[in-house]
Amino acid sequence: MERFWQQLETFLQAHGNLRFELEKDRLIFQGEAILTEPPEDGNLPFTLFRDGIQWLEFQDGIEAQEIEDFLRILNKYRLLSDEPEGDLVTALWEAELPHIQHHVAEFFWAAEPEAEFTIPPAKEDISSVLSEEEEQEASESEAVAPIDPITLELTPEEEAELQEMVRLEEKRDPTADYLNAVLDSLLELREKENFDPILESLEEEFHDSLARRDFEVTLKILKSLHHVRQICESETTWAIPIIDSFFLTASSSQSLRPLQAAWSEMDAGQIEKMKEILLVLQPEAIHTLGAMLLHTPSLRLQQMLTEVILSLASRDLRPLVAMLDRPEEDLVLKLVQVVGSLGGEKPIQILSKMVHHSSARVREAAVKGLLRRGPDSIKELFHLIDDEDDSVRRLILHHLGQERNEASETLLLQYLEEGNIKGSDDKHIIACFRILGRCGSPRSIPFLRQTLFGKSWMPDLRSPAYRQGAALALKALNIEGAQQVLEDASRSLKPGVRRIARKVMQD
Amino acid sequence: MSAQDSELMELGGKFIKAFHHMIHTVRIHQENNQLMKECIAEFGKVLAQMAGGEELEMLLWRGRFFLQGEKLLYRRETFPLINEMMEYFPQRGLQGLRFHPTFRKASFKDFIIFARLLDEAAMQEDPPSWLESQLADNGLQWLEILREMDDIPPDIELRRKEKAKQTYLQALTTVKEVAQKVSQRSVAGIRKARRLAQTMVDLVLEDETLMLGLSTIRDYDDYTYTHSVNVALLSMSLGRRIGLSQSFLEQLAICGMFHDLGKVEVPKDIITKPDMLNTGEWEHIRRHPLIGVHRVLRLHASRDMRSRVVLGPFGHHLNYDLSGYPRLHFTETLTLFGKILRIADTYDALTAERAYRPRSFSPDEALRMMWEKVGMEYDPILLKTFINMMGLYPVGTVLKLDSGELGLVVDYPSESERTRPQVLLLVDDGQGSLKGSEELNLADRDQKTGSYERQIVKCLHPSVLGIQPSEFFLKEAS
Repeated sequence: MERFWQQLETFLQAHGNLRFELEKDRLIFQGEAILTEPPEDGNLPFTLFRDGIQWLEFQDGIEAQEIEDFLRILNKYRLLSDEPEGDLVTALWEAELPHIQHHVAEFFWAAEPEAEFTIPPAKEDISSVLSEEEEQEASESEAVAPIDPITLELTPEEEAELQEMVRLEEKRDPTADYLNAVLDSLLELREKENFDPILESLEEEFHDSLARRDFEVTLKILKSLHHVRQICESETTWAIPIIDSFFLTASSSQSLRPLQAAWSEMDAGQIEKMKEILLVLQPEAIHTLGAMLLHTPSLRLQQMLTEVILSLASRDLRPLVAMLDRPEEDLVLKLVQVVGSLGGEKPIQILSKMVHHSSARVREAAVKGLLRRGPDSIKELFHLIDDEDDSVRRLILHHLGQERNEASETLLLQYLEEGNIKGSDDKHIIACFRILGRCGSPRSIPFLRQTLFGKSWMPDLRSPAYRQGAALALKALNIEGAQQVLEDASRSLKPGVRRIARKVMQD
Repeated sequence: MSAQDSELMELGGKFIKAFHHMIHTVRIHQENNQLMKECIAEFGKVLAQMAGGEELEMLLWRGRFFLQGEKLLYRRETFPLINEMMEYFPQRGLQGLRFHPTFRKASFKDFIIFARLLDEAAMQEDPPSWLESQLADNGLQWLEILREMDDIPPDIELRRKEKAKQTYLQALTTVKEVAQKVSQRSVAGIRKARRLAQTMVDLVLEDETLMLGLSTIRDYDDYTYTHSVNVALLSMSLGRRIGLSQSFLEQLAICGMFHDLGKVEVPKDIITKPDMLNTGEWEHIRRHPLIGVHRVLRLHASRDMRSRVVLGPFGHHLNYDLSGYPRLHFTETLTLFGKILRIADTYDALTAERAYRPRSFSPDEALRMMWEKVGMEYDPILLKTFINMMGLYPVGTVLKLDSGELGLVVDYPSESERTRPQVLLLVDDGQGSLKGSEELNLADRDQKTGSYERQIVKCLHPSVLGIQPSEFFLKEAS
């Protein structure tokens, strides 16, 4: 580029301006065709000729940047563009390249239109107007006061204000004004045929604003339409489904896709703005937001998304429920966590269902969600004490052992008495006894005594873990009766019983 | 007219006087005559000033006198001289003369020879050829004669006028096409409108007066379309005055062109109804800005362009104090484009012939009416700027002078004098109509008394006389 510019500038300094005439298939310099190409898109002469350029001139003093801009424009319009309004000539005009001049042929406009303007005939006879005496003149317009030219002078303050007005206008993004105008016309012309095109344009603006990350605009569109909807609720009910449809489309995965690209680059302010936007959307947005939640490493964003999903799901759980069947464990886990935060009967049903999920983490989250609702849910969840996953089992036990509780004690007593503990996990057995000790009461002492001492007339076939667990439970009960049993056991004739009791008492 | 143009015109007047004086004096006096010496010296001096180191071309074309491609305005003192040139040059088969820069080396005697040869050429059988050979024989290579030609290319100003006229007509066609398409619920492109707007911007930047003159075009039958183009021209001119950039002027032009798209759908019998409108009819009128917004949405334009163009239909009936129509729910502030269009739209509408008014308002009257509502309906700063731009008697106003003459305001030669325009005197053409004659500057004062030579007695609406002011501006281009 640099070399080309230098060569061109050298030429211009030596030979003056370089002007090319354009024909559809030829570039002509000083009457000679220097480039001939078929008149097809992509070829230089045709590209320039197509939009009406008659000649193109490079002038002395040209800057390298001008050449670069020119080539960029040329390249952009080499093929017929789909641009709705622009063309090569427009682009050159806008670029204002001082040393690259061009002339546009007037044939671009085709035939010259006729210039026939009708004006009413003269109201007064011309000769009489010309011969009127001065004294007879009586202006009809005298009723309006004359303007004192002094009042027309701009004060220095007004001059400054005007400059500022222009500066701000040229800097200003017209989108907000445009939206206001469109929304005002929507409310003022409440006719069905007008709603569709306006909402279409708002939809387009919604997508554009998201794509260019102009979240102010996105939010304005959504909030304004909410306002319109409220007004229509009482006066123009037919508009409600149309507006709802807008929100539904806006909440679709396709609409929100641009967010995924923008996600990682958002600052705190943008995240807050985004949250406001998402909160105005329909619950259908959960489909996209859930996926985003899954792929967002930022804890801050995760927190925001979770809050939004929570809010949207509180309006309608169905989109969220539909996603619980998705195969992504992490996604389902996060959504179950959200459901766990929701109040009402429906989330309980969902969580109750999710405790049967194939993923232990999901089950655990579902259990947590249910347990947060109060002690009553433990009865329903107690079966998970046999869950194949240790963490789920521990969760149940942890809950049971939080306080002395008759219901928990009953459940555990029944569980341990039946002895149908799945598998032979000694640790789990011991853990169950420990919890019984924490939540239990004197009511458990007979069972624990019996478990610790065993039946004298027959050998104990159960795991030693039962005996150890019982001793531990008795100790955890921390009541007089239990202590007595342990002391009795420490003096037992059975060495196994005696050893366990003494060890537990010492620990 | 810029200060530079004004200076050129001033110098042009001096030049034509000096030339006239020289060719007359040379017929009477010998070369040693003092007056002769003074004439030649004066001509040489003004010629050098005019040329400024370059060549100088004086040309007669279609009844107008051009120096360096710029038309010499008719003024009282130069009018008879130019008229005389209209005969002098054709008698010699000349279109004009070109002085090459080497004239600076020409002697006093060379100028005398040149003047005498010009004088004698009228008596020759083939004056141009004779002159050419005589000039060569006398070594006057610094002078080139321009022969009369039928197909002489128009000069810059005439080309500009032709281009302006064509652009106006094309803009009119484009507005019609777009309006019809969008009213039929079709999508309309604005590529052509953009190209036209760019040309209009170029023209406004080059010659604001010409474009203001064009904006006086009126079409009683097809008011809406000429009105749309006029509003575009007026808005752009105001935009230029306040310093909007080229690309904003383009957008403003498009806003103006399409500001009344909604009006196309108002039934014509309402628009042309001579009586008061009833409530339903008035409601139709009040809706047109909103319909316009809807129609703009049908334009096949970029988001950015559409965002701007919408402001035209939406804002052109909104007042500075946010009254007017449409009723606002979301909009809280006016846009600059809206405020400009409000002014341009009102001015053009007031000065147009409308069925519902017993008479249309003369341009100055329209400005005064608007000024009474400054701060309520119109932005004070913008309206001041607009009136300063238009002058108290805007271009296209017909003035009755105390001399009994009629003058059509064609320009304000001085930026600082906006109350006394340049007028083209209108005279009876003997066929019941008016024709232009000389141009006068109403700021000219009597040298003895210091008072203005002519006073304005009253203003007339051009329609009173059945004239289309723009025809006088575009005369050479037709």
